[in-house]
This record gives sequence, structure tokens and C-alpha cells, in this order.
Amino acid sequence: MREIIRSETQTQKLGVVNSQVASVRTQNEAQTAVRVIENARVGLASAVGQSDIEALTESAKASLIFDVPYPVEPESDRSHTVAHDGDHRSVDELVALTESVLGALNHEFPGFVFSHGVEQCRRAWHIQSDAGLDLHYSRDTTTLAFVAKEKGSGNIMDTFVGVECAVVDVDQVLAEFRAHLSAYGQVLAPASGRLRVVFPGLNSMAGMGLTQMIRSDLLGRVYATGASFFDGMLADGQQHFSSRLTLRDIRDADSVRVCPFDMEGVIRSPANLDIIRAGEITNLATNKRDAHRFGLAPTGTAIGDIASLPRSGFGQLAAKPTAETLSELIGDDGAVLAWFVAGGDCTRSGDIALPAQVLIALDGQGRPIGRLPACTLKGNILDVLGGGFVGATSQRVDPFSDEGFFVTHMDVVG
Amino acid sequence: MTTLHPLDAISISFPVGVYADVRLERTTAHSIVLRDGVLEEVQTTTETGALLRVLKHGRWLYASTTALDKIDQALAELARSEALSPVEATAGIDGLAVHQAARYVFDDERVDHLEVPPKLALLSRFTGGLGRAAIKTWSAQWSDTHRDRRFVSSRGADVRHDYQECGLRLRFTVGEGARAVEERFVGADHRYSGLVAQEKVLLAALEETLDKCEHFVADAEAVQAGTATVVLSPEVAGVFAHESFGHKSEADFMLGDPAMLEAWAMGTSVASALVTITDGGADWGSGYMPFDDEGQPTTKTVLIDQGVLVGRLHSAMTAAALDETPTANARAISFRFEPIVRMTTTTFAAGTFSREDLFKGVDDGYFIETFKHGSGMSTFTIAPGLCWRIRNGELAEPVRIAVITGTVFETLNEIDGLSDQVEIPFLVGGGCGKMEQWPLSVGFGGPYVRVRKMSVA
Repeated sequence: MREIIRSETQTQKLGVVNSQVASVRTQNEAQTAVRVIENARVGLASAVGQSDIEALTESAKASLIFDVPYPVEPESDRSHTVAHDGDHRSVDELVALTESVLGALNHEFPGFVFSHGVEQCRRAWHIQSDAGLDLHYSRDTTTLAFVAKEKGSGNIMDTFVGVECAVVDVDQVLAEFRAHLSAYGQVLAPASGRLRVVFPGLNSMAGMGLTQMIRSDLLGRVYATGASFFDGMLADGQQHFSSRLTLRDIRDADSVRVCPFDMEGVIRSPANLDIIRAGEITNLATNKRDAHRFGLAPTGTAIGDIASLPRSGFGQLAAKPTAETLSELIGDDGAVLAWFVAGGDCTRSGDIALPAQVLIALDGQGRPIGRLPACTLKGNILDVLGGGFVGATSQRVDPFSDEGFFVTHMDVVG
Repeated sequence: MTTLHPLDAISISFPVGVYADVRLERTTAHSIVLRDGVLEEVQTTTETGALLRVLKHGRWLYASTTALDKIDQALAELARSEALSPVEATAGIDGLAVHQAARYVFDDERVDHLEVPPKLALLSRFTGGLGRAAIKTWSAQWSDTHRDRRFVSSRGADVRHDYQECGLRLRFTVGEGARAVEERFVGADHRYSGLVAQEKVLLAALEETLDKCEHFVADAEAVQAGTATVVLSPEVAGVFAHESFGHKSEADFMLGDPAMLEAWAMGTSVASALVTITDGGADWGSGYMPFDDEGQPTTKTVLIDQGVLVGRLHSAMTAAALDETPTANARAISFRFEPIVRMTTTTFAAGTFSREDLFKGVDDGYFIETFKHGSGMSTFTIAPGLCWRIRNGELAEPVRIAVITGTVFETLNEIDGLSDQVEIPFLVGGGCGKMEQWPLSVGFGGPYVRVRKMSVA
């Protein structure tokens, strides 16, 4: 049985240096991989650029000699196509867009130097097989992302503004950027103690830091070998986290711009996977191969690049909303927004330490009002997702995002 | 030579009237993954592509392509493009020396020509020790990479060079639940024979690491957050040099900010007088790169000399913009990207203390032996792995530390001792990230470095 996996990427990137467009880069790339599954073994071959499918097939067959086990039934007899279309501008139009945004920022915020750039990207994935699998997914995005450095700060960067859009609305983009840069310019006194901390989704750098242990220790393989921090907690009927917390791996392409199938071609039903449901741990990240090996339930969580064999892992995580708006989750004292976290870690005891380089104070309505000095956000995973958890919003982190806010309590240490 | 280096056979016709250059690249990589005793993957990838640059109206037009037979057309299209209007900007191409050279140094033993079985056998010999009862899960990855690069310009430059590395990377979780520890072990070399020659030493080092992990699991308690005296191992000192100061030395961060240039003027005291930090691509190791991605020969750049700022890292453009000397630090992670200012191998220079005397100077502090990852902006962060308490100058019990952090200059000024031997670990897997370009193979290291005051949490 043969599976053919293709990816195509077309990007136009405008590089911004010293607050002006300095370069244009175009990139068109195709990558093809062939997996041959035979007698519970798998062989793999891949190529970048133009490829000869038959030659790749022969190469994949030749690699069966290594006896890499793959004792699973591949997906079959399913066709599905999802296209999350968006803007497509010519390079000239992209330059005009970028210069209009940069022009406004340079005029309104002359104290900053802006760099990085604007990228328009179309990515497409396709999995087909001899067993009748035919899955297509494509997504268009335009990302406007600028590193902002305050002139004279002595830092290599101070903050950033960025949005990822299907369809760009310049006024809304500028409104987002203005709100952040204006707040950044208002320096507030240091905050400390146990505070409400707002995360702009769970897939930003800050959110990834918060959920690091979920991603690593709820892998089926890690759990099955007894190495997980959450050992013994799966489906044990106990509430290990807040009863208001339901945490999901998102594949519902009707509501979010995500690919609906995983790298083994699995389309889940329901599309979203509850990892934590009302405080109970309900599912692990287990692809077909790991499920077979460790005697676990497969959960449609095969990830990885196409040149590799699929591995288990979560993709986009989101908490089930508990409130419509951020203001509902913030008391009169407001909260702090973890805008940019660099590094950080979670110990095996579940102790999280996130160095917040940019921390924004929010008023009771969730509006940014100023910048707090850099500090470390500390908490234990069982508290951050448990007693400390405040809620998650339907309100998106910006008008272009699929993600809501996640609010919890953490210790702010200067 | 052509069969060994197929990029040599490609000829390029440059468009007239503009400056243009092409960076051709061919990379072959193998990966073998064993996980908990089962072979999970054997992977071979070969990528051939090119990054084309055309300078027009003071701005750069780039295109990356895998169609090497259509480079001439792609260059002509870029040269015709009017996408960007003229600006007064310095590209620095006048500072690019024209070199013609071939520096192929790995033809004697091409790691990409070696079959899979001996690589798998070597990897398997290292997994034997992972059968300890305390180890709950492990993975072992062999990886090797051979890369040819060729830089050709419309001014006549034609520079060809190669790089290769091979190595094994073991990851293991020792102990259970909250007391468990995750660690890694890396052995690497430019040649397979070099790695085999180190096998006994590496196996002994692996056993020692596993023993330490078991001790750590049994006895480590969480650190009391605060500030403390810290001794960094050579690899942690290296990542500190890279994250804390190296990134600040990259000159593209200076552009458009005269005040920052003033604050970072050459001759400014930025560190303790004991501190000297250098960067260079000419030495062997994971940061080896004889020419940068603008065809310039790499050298060693002194960044801090006895606490005083004396240099920074440049591409041709940043050197011209700041009117400083180019340092051949324009690098890209692959043909998909344009070169930007990046580090190569960044190290603290040796000090004068013996290792023992360095520790003896600490009544109460911590030794950071390994790290998981690091990052740096105005403050830097390192997530440590194995850490130990220092009591009365001696290593004592293990301790769990999530992060060590500090502001860069305060910390550099708190260094009050460095040992007299520099160690630069050869790394495979991972690398440095900057903006969208990750991972870039770099090296870092140093001696043991003592910092009088650092935040631990």
C-alpha cells in the first residue's frame, strides 16, 4: 500500500529593515513523500522540488529492508477537501499595503524602529493513497509582524506587534498595533504577588510555555511508560483541574482555520478532541502507531513534516469558552497580559516559570493601559489549570485570530 | 570532483546592469530514530536549491528556487522587476571582496556516502546503557548532514565549500512523576571515524550522566527562589555568551538607532574586566563555516576584550551602514532564506582560575551543569537541567531550578572568575533561532564561569 503526501508553499515576503521595506523574497516550493506500508513495516522516501513518484516509490520500497514496524491499518476510502482562502495580492499590492501600515506607524510612533516584515503565504497539503484516501487542505494567510525597538533603549528588541489575517483590514490592523504601542509607552510601577494573568491564546509563545507539560506529558507513549507527570490520572474519574476547564486539540475546520486531518489521514468525529473535560483528563496524543504499540486508544493526533514518519502530538490547543468577553473574567483591579514570554520552563514537579519580557496591564474592561517591568510569572500546572483558572473567552485576541483569551492566576515575581 | 560536488557543474549567466549573486546549496541528511528499543524511523533527505539576490534601486530582490536549470531566467525576472521604488540605502556590496576558492575538506570521508547499518550499529551500542530500571522512556537519534555551498556573483566571485557533521543524541526520562528528570546526551564529530574514536570516552560519559540523573531524581529538591552565586559549566557558559551577549552584538539590531549606537560605542566598558568574548567560524565544530553566505572568509572577531566592547558582528550591509569593518557573519539556515547577521562559534576566553579554585570561592551557591534551552533579549533566560548546590566550595546535593535569569550587563559585570580551560561542545540537532530562521548550526562554549549574583527560580 502506498501513500503519497505532497506539500506546496508559495510565499512573498517583504523584509523591513530600519522602518522601511528593504527587500522582497519570493519562494515557491513543493515537497513530496511516499510511504510504502507492507507486511506491517513502512518505508519512506521524499524529495524537494520536482519529483518522480515512481522513483520515490522504489526508494521507499528499498527502505523496507530496515524493518521499521508499522502494524496499523492505514486510512482508506475517504475524500475531503477544505480550503481556507484569503487575500492574494500582487507584490506591488503587498508593497503598497506594507508601506501604508509602516507609514502610519512611523508617523504615530517615531520613537520606535520597526523591522521584520509582511508575508503572504499559501500552503497546501495533500494525502492520497492506493486505498482510496484523497485529502486536500490549503490555507492563505497574510502576516503583518513588526519587531519594535525603542530608539535608545539599548535592547535588541523591546516589543512586537503582529496579526495573521485571512483578509487584511488595514484600519483594524492599525487599531490593534496602536492599542499595544500606546500602552507600551505608558510605564507603570512594578506589580507583584498573585495576579490574574491573561494569555493571548494557548498557541502563542506565552501560551506554549503555559501548556508545555500538557504537550509533553500527555503523549500516549510518555503516559504508557509511566514517565508522565500525570501518571495514573487518565480517565480516573477525578477532577485534577478546575471543573470549568475543558481543553481541546482543535481540528474543526468549519469554525477555525485548521487542517481537518492529521498526518496519518485521520479525520476525527467529533473534530475537536477533549484532552481535559470539566477538569478530568480524558485523552492523550496517540497516533495509530503508538496506539497499537502501547495498547491505547488512537486519537487522530499524528503530526510532523511530510519527510518524516508521523509522530504523536497536539496541534492547536484551545480552552472551551466560559465567558463571552474578557471583561467578564477580569475584576475591577484588572489583570496583566503576558504579551511576550522568552524562554521559560516547567520542572518535572509542574512548576512553571515564564520570563515575561513584555507584560501589559489591562483595565477592568480588558483594555491595555500600560507596561509593567519585565518579571517572571510563576505557578504550578495543577494550580494554573486548577484552582487558579479563571476562564476562557469567546472574544478573540484580535479581529483576525481564531483564538480566545485564557485567564488564570499566577505569581508575578519582579 | 563533479560527482562529489554536483553544484560545481552549474554555470550561471548574470543579468547586466545590476549586482546579483546566487547561493547554491545541496544538503543530504540521514536520520535514524530508536525509541524505547524499537526502530521508529530511517530517513534520508536530499535538498538542492538556490537563493538568488539582485540589488536594484538600493533594495534587494530575493527568490529561492529548487529549479536549478531555470536560475538564469529567474535572475532575469528579478532584474526586470520594478516592485520596489528607488531609495537611498546602503547595501554594502562595495565591501564584498571577490574571492575564488574551493574549500572542500570532507572528501576524505563523506558521511553521506556511508551506509545505514554501521550508523545504526553505533547508535545501538549507546542504547545498551539505557536499560536501567530507573529510565522510564528514551529516544536515540542518529543524524548526519553533508552540505555543499557555492556562492557565485556577478562580480566574479566563486566560492565553494562543504560542511558535515554526524552524531547521536539520546534523550531519556529518569524516575517517575514529579521527581522525574529529563536529560540528553550528545556525541558528535565532523567524521564518522572521529565519532567511533571517541566511543569509549562517550560511553563512559553517558554512564556518568545516567548516574547523576539517578542521584538527582532521588535527592533533588526545589530551589528557594532568589539571587545567588552561580557557577556555569562550559556548555552553559557558552549558551550564556550566545544568548546574553552574542545576539546583542549582531549589528542589524543597531540600524536606525543612533542612541543605541552611542550606548554601544566601541571602547565602552560592558563587562567585568575578566571577560573576553569572541565569535568565529574558522574553527572546527558545529559553528564551522569557512566562508559566510556572502562569500567572505570567516575570521575570529573579538567582541569584548577584558570587559571593553571592541567589536560586533556584521554582514556587508550592516558594516557599510555603520561604517565598520565587515566580519563575514552573513548566514542563512538554508537556500530558502536570505543571509542575515548571525553568530558562528561564540565563546568566553579562558580565565586564570583552576576549576577547583573557582568552586572554592563559593560558600553558598549553585552549579548549573546542563541546560535545556536558552533565550535572550534585554534579559536572558536559561532553563537548566542538572544543577547542584555548592556548599563551602564543594559540590553538594542536587537542586531543581526552573530558570536562571538576569539582565545582560548586570550579569556580565557580576562575573568574578573564569577557569583556565575552554571547552566547546560539538552539538547536533537544534540550533540558534532568529526571527523566522531556525535552526542554524552554531557553536558555543567557554571555561567554567562564576557569576557572583544571578536570579534563580
